[in-house]
Amino acid sequence: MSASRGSGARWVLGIAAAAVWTATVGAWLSHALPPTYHLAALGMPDRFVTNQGVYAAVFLLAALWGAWVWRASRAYEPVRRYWLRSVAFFPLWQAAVFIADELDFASVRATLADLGLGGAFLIGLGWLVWYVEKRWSEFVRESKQLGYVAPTTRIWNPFHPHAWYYGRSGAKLNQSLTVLATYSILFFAIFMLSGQLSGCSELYELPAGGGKQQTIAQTVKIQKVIKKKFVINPFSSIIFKPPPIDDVKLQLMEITAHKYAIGQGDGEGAGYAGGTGRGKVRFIRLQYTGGDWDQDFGIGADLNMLIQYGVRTGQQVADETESRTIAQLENFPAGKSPPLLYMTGQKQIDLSKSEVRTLRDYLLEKQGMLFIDNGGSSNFHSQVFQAMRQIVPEIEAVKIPLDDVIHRIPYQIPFLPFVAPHGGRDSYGWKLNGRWIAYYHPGDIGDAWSDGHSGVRTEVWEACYQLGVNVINYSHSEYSKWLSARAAGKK
Amino acid sequence: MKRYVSNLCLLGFALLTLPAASHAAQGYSRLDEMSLERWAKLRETERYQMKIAEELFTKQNYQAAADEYEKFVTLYEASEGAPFAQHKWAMCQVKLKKLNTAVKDGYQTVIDYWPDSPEAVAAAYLIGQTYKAMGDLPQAKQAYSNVTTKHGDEMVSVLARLDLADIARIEQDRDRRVSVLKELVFNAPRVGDAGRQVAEASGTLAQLMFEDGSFIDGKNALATTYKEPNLSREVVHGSQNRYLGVASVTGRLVAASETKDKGIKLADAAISYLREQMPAAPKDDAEKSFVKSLTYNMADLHSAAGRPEETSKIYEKMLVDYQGEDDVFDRYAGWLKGRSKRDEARILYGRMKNLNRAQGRIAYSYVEEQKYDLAIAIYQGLLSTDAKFTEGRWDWTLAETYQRAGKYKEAIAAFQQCDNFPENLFSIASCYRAMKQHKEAIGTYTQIIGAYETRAPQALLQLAYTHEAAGADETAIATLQQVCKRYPGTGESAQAHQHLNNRYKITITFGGEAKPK
Repeated sequence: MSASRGSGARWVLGIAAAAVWTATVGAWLSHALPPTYHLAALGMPDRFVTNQGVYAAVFLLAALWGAWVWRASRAYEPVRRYWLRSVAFFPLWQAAVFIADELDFASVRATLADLGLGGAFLIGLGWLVWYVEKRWSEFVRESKQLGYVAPTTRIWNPFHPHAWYYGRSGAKLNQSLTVLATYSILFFAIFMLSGQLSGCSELYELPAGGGKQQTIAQTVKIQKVIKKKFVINPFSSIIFKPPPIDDVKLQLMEITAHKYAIGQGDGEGAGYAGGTGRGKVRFIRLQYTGGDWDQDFGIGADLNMLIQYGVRTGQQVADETESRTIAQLENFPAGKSPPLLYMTGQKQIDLSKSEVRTLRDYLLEKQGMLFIDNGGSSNFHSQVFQAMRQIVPEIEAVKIPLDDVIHRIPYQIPFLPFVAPHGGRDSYGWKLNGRWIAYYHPGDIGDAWSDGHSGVRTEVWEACYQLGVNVINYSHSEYSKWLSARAAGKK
Repeated sequence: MKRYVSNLCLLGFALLTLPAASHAAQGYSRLDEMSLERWAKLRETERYQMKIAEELFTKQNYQAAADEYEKFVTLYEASEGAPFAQHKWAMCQVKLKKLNTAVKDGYQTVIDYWPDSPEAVAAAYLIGQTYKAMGDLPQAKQAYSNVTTKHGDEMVSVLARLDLADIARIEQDRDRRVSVLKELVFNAPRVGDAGRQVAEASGTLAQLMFEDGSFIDGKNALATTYKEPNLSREVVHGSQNRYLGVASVTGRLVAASETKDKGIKLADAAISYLREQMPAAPKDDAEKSFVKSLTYNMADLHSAAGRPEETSKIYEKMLVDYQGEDDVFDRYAGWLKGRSKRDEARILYGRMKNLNRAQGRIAYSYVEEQKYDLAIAIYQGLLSTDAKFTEGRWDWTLAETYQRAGKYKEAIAAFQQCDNFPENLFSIASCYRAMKQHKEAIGTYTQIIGAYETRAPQALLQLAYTHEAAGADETAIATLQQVCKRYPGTGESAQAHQHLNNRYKITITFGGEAKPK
């Protein structure tokens, strides 16, 4: 009784450990956990544990267990030995991949991942073949002992050689082919599903159209209204009072000259040559860990800016603003990824190695751009520079000139507008091959976009909207140019 | 009279541009100056117009200066000064943050319209520099390459190569950086501004060599700029904020286990070099001083290599060799303090001849250990023994120590005796706040706001915090908003904005700027 209770406890413990390990693998693959856990939240001293530490602990413990099982299995008979070794393979494999990832050996990691996957496939197939063969042998043995008895009802069990769908002739071959095909399909379906752990694949499409890369100019036409001229005879007996000479009315009429569409390319209507009919400009905020990515999120600023962008450019814009984690950026394929991500906050920016890789890939390979706004501290200023040094160490930040394209099109920005100069009075940019891959605004531009505009003067928030329009348009235009160049290259 | 005024103007401008004239044979020594010979060729009306523009440029009124330079070019296009005016117009555009305009309408125009002028040479270089400032590194490299090809003998060529080395640093191309730096340091002429920068580059190259563990190469790079007795100091300590010497590089290398051996080898190579420089029998004071300096450097290298026993031995020997010399006690004590051996350090300070300096050092060591009472007693003594403050501002130091010790009343009295306004007023207000005497603190801050305009933003922000500490949140909020509104471009407005957001969840903070003041 006590032995069976002990055995049951071991099973429960084993299943729980397997569940923890599986969850850890899932979390690691999907970047689902924050990089740090603050123990202060648990009432402990204000220390933190990194998730890499948690991963390392779980993976290494599992690997040690796997190695121990592998070694211990030598004492058992072959079937049990191979079964134990098959189970031990998985923690060893994942631990090896994890270590390669931590050591930043990208090619080794990829090779290990691929080899392991192949190994997992073969192990599963081997056990399946063994089971099918075992059942076949049992059937043959039974037939020899009892003589063949034709089934009276339809057999559905796929492991039974007399399952009706295998037919009467060549049943063994049919069974083998069916089992192999079914197993392969199921294995790759599960593999594809696990590959999507970080979320569903999604697309970002630019609105179709075109437009000129030109500054919006306003012209004032002055129209003089010349009054009738009177020729007066001074000797006339008729009394006439001529109007004073200076009383000439001027009719001032402002006519906006920006009749051209805002965008890029030759398409019709405001939009982008690389866009599609269902495409829209979206405003996506980047979720990062360590700080307050959601500062004032969902209370107006982002949506106001998006609406203003739609109104001022005439382009199609989304109905709502959105946010995405760094890991979710991997779900966007190149050519259908967001041209711009908005990032704000005033605290820390903690990036894991994989997040740094994802952001680098987004900025350099997917032609993305970051619009970073200092939401309220000089600390955030240094955090931004530190983060960018991690992501693109080979690019140094420079002050963006006031006559740069990003400050001229579609609006001429004569002076950098800001609400509060948390990071100085100059905007900074990171440029690669003539393209800004990140624009950093040091003075809480988001507050000027928000409802009430933070109480700043009209000219300030108006300039902030204009700057926002410029940055969004710049990123989409550059993305559109890249798409067009890609399309031309393919042709 | 007219000629007299004209000559005076000429003399004034000559004084301004004297460095340029002295290097006329090598072309420019500075890129924003016109040579005296060319200035002499200008007509009086041209000089008058140019002087107006130059004055505005000197006063940093770049928009107006640009307009005046443009006027010069329009009025006197054929003048000797026209390319210079166009060149300076471009420089104004750079100052006005219009870098693209500076390149396309400024420097390029100089090259196109006055290709033989000295400004065309400078403009060719400045195009590269402006591209670099905009982050357009490929264009910058192209522009610098043109400069080095076309104007290989000019100073701008050296400047261009210096910038190419910096681009290699940005692009993390260490090999290219080292190669460019070597070429510059060992072969380039050192003229004008470029000479100073090449000298600095020799330090950078030396640091890179030291980091590679190559002491001799690093020392040779520095030897192109410095001769003994300065060379050994530069080799060991480098130059603050510009490049690191062997001591700092050794410290870094030794800190990491995989580079520890390399660091120790580097330090040993440097020590043996210093030994070679040591005169066997110093003849005069200069040589004696050199020997002492070399010995200090050896002690520093042993310390950086993690060999405190060796460092200690050197200092102990120096105590014997230089009996009674204060700087040996001071330096040895400072090193001991760095190793948290403050009692031993104080004993050494106590042996110094300059009692006031010794007492100051001892008192500060007590402050570091938060033994404020002991420090206060010494500082009080120093007020009478060193009443002329030859070794330190003891009145201010005493007041600060009282404040750190939490003796705010005494601190206020001491700060009131100081004459460094308004710093002492800020400290007094801070003491009042610490004693929760908010009314007095508010009065002091108000006094600062009224009397010291430049410090008013800081005082107003502190005033808001004082209101907050006094529980008057409404007044605090209004005051914080005042900071944002009255001083929108300052760091204080940024702090006020942040505080309103975070503490009071108030987004309406006012402030903001969209136009230059």
